[in-house]
Amino acid sequence: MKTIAIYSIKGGVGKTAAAVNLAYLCAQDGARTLLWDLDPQGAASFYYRVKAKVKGGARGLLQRNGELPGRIKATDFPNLDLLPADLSYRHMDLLLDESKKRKRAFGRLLEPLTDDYDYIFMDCAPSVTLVSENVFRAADLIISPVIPTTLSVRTLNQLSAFMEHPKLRDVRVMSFFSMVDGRRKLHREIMENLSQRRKGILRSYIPYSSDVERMGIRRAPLPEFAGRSAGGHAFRLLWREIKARIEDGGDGNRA
Amino acid sequence: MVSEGGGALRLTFYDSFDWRLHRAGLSLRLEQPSRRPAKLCCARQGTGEEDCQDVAAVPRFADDLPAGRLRTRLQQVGGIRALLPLVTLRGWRYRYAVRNEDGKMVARCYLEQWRPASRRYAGSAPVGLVRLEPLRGYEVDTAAVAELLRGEELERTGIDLLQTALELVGRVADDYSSKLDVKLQPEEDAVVAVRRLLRSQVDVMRANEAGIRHDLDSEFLHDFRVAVRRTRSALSQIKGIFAEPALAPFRDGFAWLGAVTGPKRDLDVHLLQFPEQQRLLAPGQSADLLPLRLLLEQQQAAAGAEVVAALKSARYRRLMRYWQTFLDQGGTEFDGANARQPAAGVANSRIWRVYRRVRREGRAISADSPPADLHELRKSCKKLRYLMEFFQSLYPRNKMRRAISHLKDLQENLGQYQDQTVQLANLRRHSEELAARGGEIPVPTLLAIGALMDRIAGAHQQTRAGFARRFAAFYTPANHRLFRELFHTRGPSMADQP
Repeated sequence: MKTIAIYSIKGGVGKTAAAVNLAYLCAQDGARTLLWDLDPQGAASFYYRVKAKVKGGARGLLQRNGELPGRIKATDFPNLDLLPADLSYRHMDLLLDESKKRKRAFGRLLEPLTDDYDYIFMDCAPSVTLVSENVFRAADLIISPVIPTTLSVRTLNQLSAFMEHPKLRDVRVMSFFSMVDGRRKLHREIMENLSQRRKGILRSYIPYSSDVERMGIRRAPLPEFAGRSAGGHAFRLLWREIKARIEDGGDGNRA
Repeated sequence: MVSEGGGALRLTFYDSFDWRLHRAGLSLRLEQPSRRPAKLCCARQGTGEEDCQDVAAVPRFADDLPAGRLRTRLQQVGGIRALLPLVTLRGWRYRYAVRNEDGKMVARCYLEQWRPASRRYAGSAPVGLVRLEPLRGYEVDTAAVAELLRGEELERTGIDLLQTALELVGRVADDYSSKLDVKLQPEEDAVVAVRRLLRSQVDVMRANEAGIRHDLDSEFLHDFRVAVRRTRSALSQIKGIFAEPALAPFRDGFAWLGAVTGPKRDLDVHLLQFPEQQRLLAPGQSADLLPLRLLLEQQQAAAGAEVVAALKSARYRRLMRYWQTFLDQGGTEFDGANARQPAAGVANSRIWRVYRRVRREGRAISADSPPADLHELRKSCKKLRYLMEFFQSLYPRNKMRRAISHLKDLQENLGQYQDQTVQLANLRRHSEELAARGGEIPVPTLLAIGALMDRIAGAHQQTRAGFARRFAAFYTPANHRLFRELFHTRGPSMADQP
């Protein structure tokens, strides 16, 4: 089982779109996949038409005998299940702080799923909190979308600094450029500059496209309803590259 | 409800002869639509979960499927048993998605009609089904839909397709097990009980004949041989039930059957262990064993032909016919001295006697005892095990299970020791056979066999060293109390006579 967290300190960078589409493509490859929607806004759940509600809420999940399997919902697509979001996830930090193993709670929750899934994707809410620390501890790989602007790049640096923690050194980090506008000089420059300087930046990027926005209207992953669109194609290339890197094992994928 | 298409289809269900998939809650089916490629699906019964894979044909063994989750799952459950077709249906199926107000699918609904594909059932009426499959996490919604359908008098909801398929051809799932499952009454005449037990073993032998003749997998012969051994063990262990002179020809007959099927089983076992043995060697060396494998396969084919010839022989047919007649007739003319004793008394005294023998023989084994002593103990343990299994229905289930499990652990050690002894002897013999063929055998092969023998010899020593601990675990006061409580009846018993 590989656990992949889609994470960014900054909001609005195309995180949920990436989680929804990558999980879908992963399942389409035949891998048993679970998408865990950790964002209290529940956008990923919404895209898959699953109600953003979890039995017992965040508290039920984190209490001593809380478990994930009974809370999982099948999506409409083969091999892909979803663990929905819940509004109460906004208190997750407080609850984690009260719990005993506050940084390893997610790891414990995911453990019983080892044989059930090949890949688990976590769609995380932005910011650096106890929740994100839990996610980092539980993840094998963190994928961070970056908009090629100065502020976004700055948050990428912050993430790198954070990941220097000794307990997190084994977690691989990859980034990709998101919402890229090829007409803008600044985007082109930042992309070129950063790709040369940093190792963990993926070659595939996601262009800014209205297709991605249509996901909210269609309530389905992009490759499902617009597989041939530029966005659909870009996500497919991105997943192929990520998968190749995962299978490679590889070294120094630090962003 | 939204249509997801459908059309004409052939469905073939598969399982091993002993229903391993069914017992694990799985059902395996090959779907052959008229224009699209066939796919093999393994479903968890009662849920919508399944693993599917496009296949050209279903291989006899799960090992020969392309690598993937389907293969792994089938290997884990089916193991070394062949996947055999159970029943083929033809008909059509249309699939619908049942969606809620958010447009989320909550269940799949199948509208389908099936009839057996075989001409034998040409006249039978097709079965129409409306089948609902819940999606994980939406079981409540599915139940609500099922309720709606029930209101529409579409009663066939929540139906297991395999079950329906079997009903169509008049088969019952789980209709074979090599396990002894004969319910005895403590007060019934011993001879009646023993006849029933032995009759059940005739059924096991008969059930496995076809699989042996067609060489479907190794376990048909194995189950057959276990039934033969149980029969022989009963004939020698449960004394005074039948008049001795009547038994002599059957003893000879089953001894012959055991002997004539032995070489094939030994080779089956060796070939089943072959991959594991290859793994004992360095990666570069494992390929050097291939000439040995070829030799084993040649010998296996020859030994298999001998088994088939034996099963076709007049001698076998006569033996089985006379034996069945002997068991089925209810008269008293072949009664032995203890024939009319209550079954429970006979069981107690025989089991207790053999149990004490096992204790005695085990106690006498020290670190210097020769392998033959362990072999004798192993045989005694086997006899004890068979007796306990024969009569298990007369005893409290839990205690019996506990008693058998203690014995089983000991038998495992002894069995492993014996297997390794046989493996070493076989490898020695095979290397001589290969050497006798002259210059055509490459030196690396002989070296690889030598290396393998070294490895097995090491493991053999370890198994021997582990015996003392295993026996000590069997030879405890608590276990003795358990056996005493179960099998030791006070006072003299008629059945105790030899």
